[in-house]
Amino acid sequence: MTVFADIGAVFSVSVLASGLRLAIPTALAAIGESISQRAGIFNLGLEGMMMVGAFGGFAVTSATGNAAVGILAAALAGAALALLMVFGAVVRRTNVIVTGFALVLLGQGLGNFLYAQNQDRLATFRPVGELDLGRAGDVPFLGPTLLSQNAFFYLTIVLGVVAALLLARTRFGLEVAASGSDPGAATAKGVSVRRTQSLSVLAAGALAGIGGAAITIGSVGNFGSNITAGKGFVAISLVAVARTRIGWVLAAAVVFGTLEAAEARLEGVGGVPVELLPALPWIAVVLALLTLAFSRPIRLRSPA
Amino acid sequence: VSVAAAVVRRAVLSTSAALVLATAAALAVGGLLIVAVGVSPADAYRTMWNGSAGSVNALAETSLRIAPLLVMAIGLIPALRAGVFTIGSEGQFGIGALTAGLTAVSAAPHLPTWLAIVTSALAGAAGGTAWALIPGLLRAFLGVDEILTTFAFNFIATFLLLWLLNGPARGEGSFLVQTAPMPPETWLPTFGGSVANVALLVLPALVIGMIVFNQTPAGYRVRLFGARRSLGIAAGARPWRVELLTILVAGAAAGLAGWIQVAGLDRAVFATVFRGYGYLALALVALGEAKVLPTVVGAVLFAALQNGSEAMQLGVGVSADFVFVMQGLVLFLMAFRLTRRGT
Repeated sequence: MTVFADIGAVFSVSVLASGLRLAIPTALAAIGESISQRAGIFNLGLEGMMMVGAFGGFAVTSATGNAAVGILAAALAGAALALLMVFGAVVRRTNVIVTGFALVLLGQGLGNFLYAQNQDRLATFRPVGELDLGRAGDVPFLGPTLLSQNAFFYLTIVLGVVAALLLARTRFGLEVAASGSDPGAATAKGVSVRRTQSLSVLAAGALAGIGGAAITIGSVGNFGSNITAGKGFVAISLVAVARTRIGWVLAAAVVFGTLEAAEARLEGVGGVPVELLPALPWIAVVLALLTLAFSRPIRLRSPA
Repeated sequence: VSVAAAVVRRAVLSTSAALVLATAAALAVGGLLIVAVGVSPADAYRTMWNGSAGSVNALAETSLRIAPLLVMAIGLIPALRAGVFTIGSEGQFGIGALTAGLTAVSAAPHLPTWLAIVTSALAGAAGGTAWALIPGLLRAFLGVDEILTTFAFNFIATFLLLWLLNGPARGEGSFLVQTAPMPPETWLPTFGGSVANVALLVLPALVIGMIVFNQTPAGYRVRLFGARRSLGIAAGARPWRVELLTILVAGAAAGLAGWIQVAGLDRAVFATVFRGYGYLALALVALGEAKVLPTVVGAVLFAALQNGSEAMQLGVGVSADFVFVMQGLVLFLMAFRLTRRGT
């Protein structure tokens, strides 16, 4: 029974609070991926787009001292890499997987390379701090979790709501759904599939870029080699588990973030070696995909 | 014979020529990047050439990178032909290196030299296969997407290796995070005086073996299955077998590559055994359009780029991360040959 008591202690309010913080980068990228996948483009390049966003955001914030400008730069950097995806996968109809994988290598390479070359010139800075909501921060449970986060957290919620409304309630959302499910019929009805898919992929790139910046500007105040550490692939997994529904995507990101946050607390629980704890969220991803497979097989990519 | 010659000529002319052109284009773009960081591209590329192909030593060094990359890439060819996109080679490479290294350490004292080498090679292949088994089964029987599971398994492998090297698998009395050093009789013999080793002799056999496999009925079914599932099934391919076996073959090859890495160069298993070779091998097969000869050309080019970039970092201070930009660009350009025509 003590193991259960220990596990109870692990998932405390403070773990949930840092879980929410850790969920931000993946959640942002996953919102973007959902839009792109709904439009029919499986964007495997997400990790690369997060990397260039992480670096672009860091470099511009470091140079200007203005985090808002940095976030804008991150969005542009992510969208710029996504433009290559558009040119390949949408315009020339290349193999999405191969083009996406190329963009992972390219984005990681660019981020790491540009940082290595400019490391001496780029000063580190204090990451964006928590918003001071005055007395609201004292509310039990909600205070330390939802009401003591930084701007990226609230930005994520706003962007998530906007994306969900856009997909469900607007003409553009219908065009996205039509382009993704039946491009032929969509074209026949006068929808420009190419334009819709291009905008969706660019949105995914911009959101992934902001997700990368959430790491460098929002949490570290610095950059490091491969700083996104596979979060782009985590985001794609979350989208698969949540089947591109924004609400579920955000929920899945919080679960994953909380597991990451719980790692530090799990030391010594049940005799699991410390070195293996970082593997837990990845095992959770595999288990989630597995569980889902029993309800309905996941086909991310249309069979060739 | 003339038909075979025509096939060979066409393969070399089309994909391989495009690959060389794409590399040239990437290096041209890279030149701009090098100018942007304030270094003369002429100096940078001269250093790169000297470091990768400019001398016998440089060539031998490059060959040390070609061997593991190419073995892994050849093993991925059936999977990509079948439309199975396993990105698990990276993790399977690390696990294979570990099982090969540990086997060499524990078995060598009891076996004749040649048997110790063969046993550790087999142990490497077995380790890689084992690490591919779960994603393979999930893909084959439950339809779980292999991209995401194999990627997750790569991460799990890094943490598993770190734990094992810190604890159970750590060399006795070692202060470093590594296994005990492999006994010299389990090292791959080198060619007189250079660092190049006999793994190079295995490569032609694997290359020819894969070319032959692609011509067999089984190879043909795999390719039909990848081109259009229903056609493959009509030709007698059983989906679960194709998916499981191609993933396991890729795993075995990656494990074997891990053995080549530790027995040929590292001579103990370190936590830094992960070098991104698994991802590069996948990129190679993708840009080689899952054909054997272009994959070989690509492996030589990529290994040379990799080695040259490190020379460039030491020589003129351009970060070796440059190589990923080049490899990403080459793959991006090559993808334009893989359009979804007719689907």
